[in-house]
Amino acid sequence: MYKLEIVTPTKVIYSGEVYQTVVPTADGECGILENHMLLLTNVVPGKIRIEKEGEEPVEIAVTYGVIDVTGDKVIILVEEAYLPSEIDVKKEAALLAEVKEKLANTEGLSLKEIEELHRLKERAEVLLKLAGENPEAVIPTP
Amino acid sequence: MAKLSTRDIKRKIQGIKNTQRITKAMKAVSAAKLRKAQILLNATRPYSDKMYELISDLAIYVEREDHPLLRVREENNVDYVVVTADRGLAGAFNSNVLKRAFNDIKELEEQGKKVRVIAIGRKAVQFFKARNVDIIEAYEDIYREHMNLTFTSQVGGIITSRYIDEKTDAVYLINNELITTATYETKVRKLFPIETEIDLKKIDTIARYNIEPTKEVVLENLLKQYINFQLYRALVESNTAEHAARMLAMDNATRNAGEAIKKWTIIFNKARQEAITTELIDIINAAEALK
Repeated sequence: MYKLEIVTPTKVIYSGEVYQTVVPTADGECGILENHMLLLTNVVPGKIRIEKEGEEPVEIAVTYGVIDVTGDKVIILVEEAYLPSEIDVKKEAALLAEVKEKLANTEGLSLKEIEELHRLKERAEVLLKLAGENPEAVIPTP
Repeated sequence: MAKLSTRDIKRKIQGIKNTQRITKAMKAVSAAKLRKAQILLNATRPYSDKMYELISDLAIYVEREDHPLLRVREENNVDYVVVTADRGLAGAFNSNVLKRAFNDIKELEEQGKKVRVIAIGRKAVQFFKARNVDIIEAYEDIYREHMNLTFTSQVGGIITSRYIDEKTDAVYLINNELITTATYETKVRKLFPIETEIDLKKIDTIARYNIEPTKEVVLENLLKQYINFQLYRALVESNTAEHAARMLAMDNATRNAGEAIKKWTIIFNKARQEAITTELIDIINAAEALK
């Protein structure tokens, strides 16, 4: 057991002692048990699974952020985090459509702006998938 | 002062009463908004604490040369991000920030440095436009709908790419922050180059840390998130302080209006008494004459 904290700029979404956390990172899912090596890496949109002994695992949908595995605790800082049931499907679908439209015609946009659009697209796709609305999206698997 | 008739005085009192009614209502609205804003502000605190923890962890095993955003240059070009409110009627709330920013800018320009401004809030935009300060970007009307990370990442993107492209050598953030519900303070923070403090107690962990995939990639992400959040926090702080300032200003205005009403009521009573006395004298004189 170790202490896990998942924090967004607007709230602390999870704080407590856990057995294992499975986190989506740029290189695939990463399971973190007690005494994990010290690690600092990026979190990508996907779901975090929190396991506690004798309890149903909790799933939380997150977007971009970082995870810091220190000696005594694990901190996950993400831009947004939701319970899958909290995701605003309508809003995300509208956003996704808007971003896709912009991506269809990228003339005149800088590389940075296109990068940002891809980021928004990935974020919306994954959130929709986790809400059970978009089965096409690819979620990183180990 | 020309002598006012009782009717004029009455009208004046009514006018003050109307103003007082407005200031009272504005105070109540600000109080309600302040409560809401404070909840939002308190919600950012844990993230803020954790972010500082992370950055100070990071400072141990990262060197200034590791990322363009950490490199320190001679400060020849300086950017100021100035955050004010969209509306006035909040006491010295806006002018405190603007005065401070303008003084700093003048000082830097006297040293031969080039200063540019990113203005957030209508008051800041108007102020700098009127004074011919070089504005990179101006934002108005953001507190109501766009006080979120999407907006701040837009602003953050502009200043990070300016810093990386060496268009600017230092970026400062200036905004009001709430100290207690009744006081706020103007704060200037350095955004770039990012300042870090090293916690010496943690230094033995350096060698054991793993950064995946690479230091550069993680740093890039973390620093972006850090800047993004700093801007977001500045907006939230400023918004909260604005409502507190307006509440206070309106409270004072209501009290002053009350005093003015008292003063004018006395004047009114005196004037009325005077009118009655003159009338009485007239009647008595007339009666005297008839005898």
